[in-house]
Amino acid sequence: MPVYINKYTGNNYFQSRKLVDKLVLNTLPVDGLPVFRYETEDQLDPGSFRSGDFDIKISLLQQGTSQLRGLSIRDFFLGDEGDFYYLVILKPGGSSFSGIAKQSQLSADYTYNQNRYDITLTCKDILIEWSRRCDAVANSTIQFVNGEQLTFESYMQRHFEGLTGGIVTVRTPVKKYVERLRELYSNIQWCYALGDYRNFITGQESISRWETFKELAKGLGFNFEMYVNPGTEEMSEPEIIFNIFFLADLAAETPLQLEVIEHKEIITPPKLEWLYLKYRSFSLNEAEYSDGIFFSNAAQYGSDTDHGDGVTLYPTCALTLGGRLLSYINENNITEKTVVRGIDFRELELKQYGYNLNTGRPIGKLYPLNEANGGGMAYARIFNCARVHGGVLDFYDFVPIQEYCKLNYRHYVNLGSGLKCLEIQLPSSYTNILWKVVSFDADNLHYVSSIESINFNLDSATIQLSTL
Amino acid sequence: MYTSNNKLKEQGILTELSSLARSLSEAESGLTSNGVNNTSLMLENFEAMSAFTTKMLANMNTIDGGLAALLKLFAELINSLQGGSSAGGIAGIFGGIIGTILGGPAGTILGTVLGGLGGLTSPRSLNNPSVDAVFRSSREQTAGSSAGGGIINQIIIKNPVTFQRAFDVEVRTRSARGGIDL
Repeated sequence: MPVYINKYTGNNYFQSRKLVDKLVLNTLPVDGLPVFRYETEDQLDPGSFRSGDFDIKISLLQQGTSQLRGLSIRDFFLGDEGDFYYLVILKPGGSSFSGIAKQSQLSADYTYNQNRYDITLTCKDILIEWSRRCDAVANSTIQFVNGEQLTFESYMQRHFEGLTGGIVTVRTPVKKYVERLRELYSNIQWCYALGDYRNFITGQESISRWETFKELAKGLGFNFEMYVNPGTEEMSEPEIIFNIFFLADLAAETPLQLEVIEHKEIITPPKLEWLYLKYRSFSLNEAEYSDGIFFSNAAQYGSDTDHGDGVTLYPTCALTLGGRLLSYINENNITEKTVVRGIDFRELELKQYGYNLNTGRPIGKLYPLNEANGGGMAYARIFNCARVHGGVLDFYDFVPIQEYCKLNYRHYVNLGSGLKCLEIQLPSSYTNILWKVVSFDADNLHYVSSIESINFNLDSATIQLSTL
Repeated sequence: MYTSNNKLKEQGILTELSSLARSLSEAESGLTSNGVNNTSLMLENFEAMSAFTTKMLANMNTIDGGLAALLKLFAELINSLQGGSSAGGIAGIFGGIIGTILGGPAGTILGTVLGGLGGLTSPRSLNNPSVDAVFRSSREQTAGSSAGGGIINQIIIKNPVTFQRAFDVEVRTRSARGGIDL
């Protein structure tokens, strides 16, 4: 079970890197992974994206010589002065975990007893390195001109254009996004991100690409993961896969076949019945009007606020009483449903960006309203569908998008769901077990939501499973 | 640069110091109220510590100028013995010495453990002022190594790795260390 360590100079693996040396270890001390934790999301916080880190301990007494400079383990890590960083790839079982350790995240312990004569590296998930790279670049640098239309798949490539450093492959699901939407509404003609909609968001010079990507992930309802492309671990610059996927696809995957050593289960605390996603809002004196969707396990209320005539507000999701009450008001101005924040519903917060509609371009239903009192639009609103209503093509329909999004958050509106904790033997046939499905019976699918520890020598792991 | 000649010299000096300490302490009454010869036990510890230090010196070519510090430490030890310190106090001295040599929390912990071992042979109060004074002295010396007069932390590492582990990810216990927000 090898450990690949590449030493680089530069500031970020995805931006600048110059290989200094390489070290491959075939073993670690018994306590070689004293800390290991990878998470996917906060189970109590919808729309959160989490990652992890691990500590790796390397004995200074174990055998190992660097491949390029022939240095001992100590000299490999501490022989030079400089601002180095290390790409560390662990391969326990068939799995692969990669992290980045800066020189300042490395410590040596020369105490020559108590099994301590060693070097410890604190490695952060490679996804964190990627997020830092993307967080350092403004959203305004995305080349997306007015009049341009990009599919979901094309836009994702465009969003990261210029950031991949030639080593990141951005993957999107085989099933096209528009096909997913057509499973809900067969009359969808197309679904595009529109350059105009992206460009009239103001202040994009101070909004990072990573922030807008996360907002897209929340607003469209997808997830992402990052791992080393299998087979490239020994290269000077291992390739990285950035995989975008939808939870809805997991159910169709072949479940993991796990060898279970221990099996524990708890029931999570009850969650609120309703979850609310707000995609656009503006405040008038009497209420904050918004288009969005709130839904439970059994029902949903969604609105696409205005009809383009500049007057009609309904149907709408109206927030009153300082945002504490959320009501659905239908097209006949009748309140159909009211729920209370913190008691009945919680909001998955989508950042409301300011926008300027003086572009001279057609902007459909997003006509200017009085936003002096606040409001804005979620980044996901750069996507729109064209759908036929009564023989008329509606070019700016967002309803299918928000309805598909809620599929990603169904597990946040369960009243209580099972959370399993397993100790398992790491399967040999999977590179990355996070987000993989485990089936206890046909109606009881779970996915691996976190890895809490790994026993490097036994190729075993303690994992947590959440209800899909 | 630490040479093999220096190592041999230091090993020899340590042996001599050990003998000197034995002769000094034998002049004192080593019996405590419960009849255990603590001084003898302490001297055994001291010899073990001497061997440990010698071994460490042989394994750490980053230690430089260790001899002067060891002499100073030994002088403090002798003072302690002659001053009739309690067994716990002397064990604490050992701990303090090791803690000072190793430097930082790791050394302090190890020193504390060794000190505790030394004190197992006789009951002692954890609040014994002499023990506390010794550890405090050791900590102050370690922390104030550059102030002059204190015992200098002899370990020199090229890279700016501190024993306080001032990483940008603070080192936390497993239970407190959760996932990282993206």
